Amino acid sequence: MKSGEKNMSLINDKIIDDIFAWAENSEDRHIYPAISDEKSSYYVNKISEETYMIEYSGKTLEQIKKALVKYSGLSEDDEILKKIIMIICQCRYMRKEKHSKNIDKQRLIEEEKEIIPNFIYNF
Amino acid sequence: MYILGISALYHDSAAVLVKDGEIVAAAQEERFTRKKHDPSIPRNAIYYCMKEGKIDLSDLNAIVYYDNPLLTMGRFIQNLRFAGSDSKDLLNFQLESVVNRKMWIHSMLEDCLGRVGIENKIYVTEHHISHAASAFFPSPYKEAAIITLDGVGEYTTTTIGYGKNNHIKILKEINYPHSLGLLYSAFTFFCGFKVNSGDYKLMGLAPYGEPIYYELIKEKLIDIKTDGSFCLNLKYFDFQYGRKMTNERFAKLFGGGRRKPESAITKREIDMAASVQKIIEEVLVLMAMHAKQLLGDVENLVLAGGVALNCVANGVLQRKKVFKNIWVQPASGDAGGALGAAMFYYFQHCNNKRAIDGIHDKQRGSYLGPAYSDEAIEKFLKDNKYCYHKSVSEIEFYSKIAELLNEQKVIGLFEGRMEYGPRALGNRSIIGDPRSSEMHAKLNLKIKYRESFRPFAPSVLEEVAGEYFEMDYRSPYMLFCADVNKRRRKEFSLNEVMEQSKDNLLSVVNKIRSDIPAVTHVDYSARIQTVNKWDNPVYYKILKAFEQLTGCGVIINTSFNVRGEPIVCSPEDAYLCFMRTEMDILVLGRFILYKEEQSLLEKDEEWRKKYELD
Repeated sequence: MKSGEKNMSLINDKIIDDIFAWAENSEDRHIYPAISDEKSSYYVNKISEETYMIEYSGKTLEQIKKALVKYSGLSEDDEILKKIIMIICQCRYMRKEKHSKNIDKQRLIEEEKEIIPNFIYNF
Repeated sequence: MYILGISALYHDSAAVLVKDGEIVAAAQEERFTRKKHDPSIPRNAIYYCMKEGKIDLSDLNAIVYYDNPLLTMGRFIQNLRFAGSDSKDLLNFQLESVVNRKMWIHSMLEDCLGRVGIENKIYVTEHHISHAASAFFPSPYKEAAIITLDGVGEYTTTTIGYGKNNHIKILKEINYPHSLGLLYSAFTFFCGFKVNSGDYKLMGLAPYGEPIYYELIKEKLIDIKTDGSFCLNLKYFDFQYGRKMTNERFAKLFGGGRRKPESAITKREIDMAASVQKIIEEVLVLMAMHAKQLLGDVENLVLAGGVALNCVANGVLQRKKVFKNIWVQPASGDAGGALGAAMFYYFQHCNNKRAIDGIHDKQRGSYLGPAYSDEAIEKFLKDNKYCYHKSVSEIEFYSKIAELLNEQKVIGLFEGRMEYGPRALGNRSIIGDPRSSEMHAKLNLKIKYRESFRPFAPSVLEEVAGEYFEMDYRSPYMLFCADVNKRRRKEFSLNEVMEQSKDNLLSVVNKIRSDIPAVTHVDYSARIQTVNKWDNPVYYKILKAFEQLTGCGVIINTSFNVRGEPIVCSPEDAYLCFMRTEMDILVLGRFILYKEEQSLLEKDEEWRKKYELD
């Protein structure tokens, strides 16, 4: 984080550091396809309709884990999966009201720094 | 069967109520909270939808959120691996949004709505399925090719699909980070405008410029194949790492840093706008040609996703006649995802039959928001002791509005149900005389308080649209641009005027280019709304009365708001906007208010600070 910026996150810094360490170790700058003269098309065929719509109800640790394994591309023994589940569950109980305050504060920071507001550029 | 569609937590949150496949109500949350692009859970919009449908939450069969948080989480983790040692910004500013808000969307909805009646009824659709469904299911077509294009939704940025009866299927897609929406946003950002709300400005700026960077963009930033698929050169972008769109390399390519917002617009930005616009048009046309190739004799194309709001590109596509018919979802941005999600559940998931006639769509003119009865409006006026005039007859009402327009008055028009989607289509509009050479500047600078270069759109009687514009199709949602008819144009050389004006866009804007100068852009183009008596009888009669009085079947139509403010929703919003600007007249239902008869608003000096510039 740059000096002067405040971390508005509800998430414990230690977990963020752990995930950062994972990202650093797993770094793969070639994960996305690059421009290629050899390719005649950049389209990917979409075959399965399985994820078009799903029921969404997971609330327990086990349910969240199962859903993430099924849809997020992570496998059960991925080290990152445990950390992600941990923060998802942690956030459930810290969520109420706080995020709206964060958005307002963050807007001010973003205006000063001329970066894209998170509430608009948020994907 | 009642289905509630929700879009939220990104931008432009919205709620839609669908009953047995028909849209009962649809509204964006920003209109109620008065916060532009409000991303919060749309509790006000939900409440409105329930009220309009006269139902309780327990009557709902399903609540469908327009995006799949699990897939988004997968994309986020994938992106962390890409960013690796540069992922701090992602972790500090995006992780919380993904894990805290999106992953708990079902609990947030329960917090907002109460658990009773909604448990086990929450579904999520894929983001681009929501867009594709919003384009196909309300369209008039039994069968159509579907193209969706936006920034990104989960892994996907672009799709080509196919819809028939009650079933849609995505055939091909392009995945993040290769995104036409993000490319356009990068240019919007770099040219000093805000991503999302500034995209229209970039599109409006493009006709002033020359696409001198077109080749450079193709050489350095994007590779486009003949089938319309594309790949970005990630070396020039920073959005993969966090909150900045472009990097130093990008700036160097265009001879310097980002334009400071609100500073003077230079030729560089104008030419960048023209260049990236040409890229968008090229990709859209190539994609449509590829879709046509894939789907053989399918005659119809439907479009959705933020990029589909680029009416200039839509106009180019229409003129190319790749498909016989094109229908674009009026709420093509994320707000429209709520509609697609609900419709997908009803038609495809529940396998319900879809009744269409091949001509009329199911969007109901996009007049899907709250309406206020004349009784409610009169009560509002009386309670506040505002001075107003009630028309004794319909004929008198329409004639009076036509007379006022002819007298060069600017009128705030508040009528019937609020529009769903970003365009005002005559129910929450500011209207004026397009024949006036001064009207453009007056509207921009004294009423909308926005940049002088921005064009205004015309509403035209559907039956005479071809007399004014070079078009042979309907454009009820203001989603296609066409040129002003050659017979109506006046000699004008943009290059000469640009040179003489030394990039002062105001002097270029003020040059008269046709006999409807206030709605003729510098390249003779116009973003057209065709109006017929079925979709909006009141607005049609206003246009008709103006035509009978003046011989002109066109009026200016711009959204009823000031810069940075969401379009007005209630009579109170309309009255405030009327009083805060130099608008002359306010029409609230059947009541006419004159500015000179109103008392000044008390203690309202600070109102401009309320709305962040867009």
